[in-house]
Amino acid sequence: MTAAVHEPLRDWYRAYPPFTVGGSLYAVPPAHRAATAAALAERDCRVHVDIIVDAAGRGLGVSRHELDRARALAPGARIDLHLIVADALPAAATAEIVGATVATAARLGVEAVTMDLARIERCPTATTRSTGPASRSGWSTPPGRASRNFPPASTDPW
Amino acid sequence: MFIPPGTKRSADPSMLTEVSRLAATMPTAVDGGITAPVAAQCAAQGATYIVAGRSLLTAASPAPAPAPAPAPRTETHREDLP
Repeated sequence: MTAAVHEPLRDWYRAYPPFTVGGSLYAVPPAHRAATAAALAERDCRVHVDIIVDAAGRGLGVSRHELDRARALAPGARIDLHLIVADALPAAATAEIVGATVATAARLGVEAVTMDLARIERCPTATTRSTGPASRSGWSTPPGRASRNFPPASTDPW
Repeated sequence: MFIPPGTKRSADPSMLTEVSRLAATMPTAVDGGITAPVAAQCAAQGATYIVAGRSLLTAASPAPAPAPAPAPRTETHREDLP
């Protein structure tokens, strides 16, 4: 008797050029996230990571620990972060989280950090130091959202 | 985004026109409730990066739970007893 081979991805991604499709780690249970990142990278898919912070500053999405494990298991993965912050979070806290996220992105070699344009405008101290091009990967988002490269921050509460 | 971030709704097909408009001028990514058919439509409209979760990752949709075992028969149901 042989065990069934578990295929972590449905095959529709094969219809697209390499790195056109990215898998969102938030969609899978935390215990599967690092292995899913590795499976995506092995199949020339990108790794999309939702970082979700509620009004109390609690992380509800992919955690930093999970992101670290994903990078460790998939050192060559093309990772991008999507930072989603609750409207009710104070601007200072939002700015701190943006800075921490950017620092983590820089540390892990993440390709892009995306967040709502309104959030970027609410935390100028975290964004006015931007010096690089809009995005290394060059992808963009609909009106009201923006993708930017940010400089590393000194704090890391995330 | 085809759905509000962090939610698990189905993609809003009306956003496809937005993809077409944006893709005419810049590289465009789509995210949120993207299924294989919606991905194909987005690609046709010019999207260059397609983010998918539940529709792509099998770990996001584990096999359905087995049917619950029948409830144990109680003494009142033991019609098979003599």
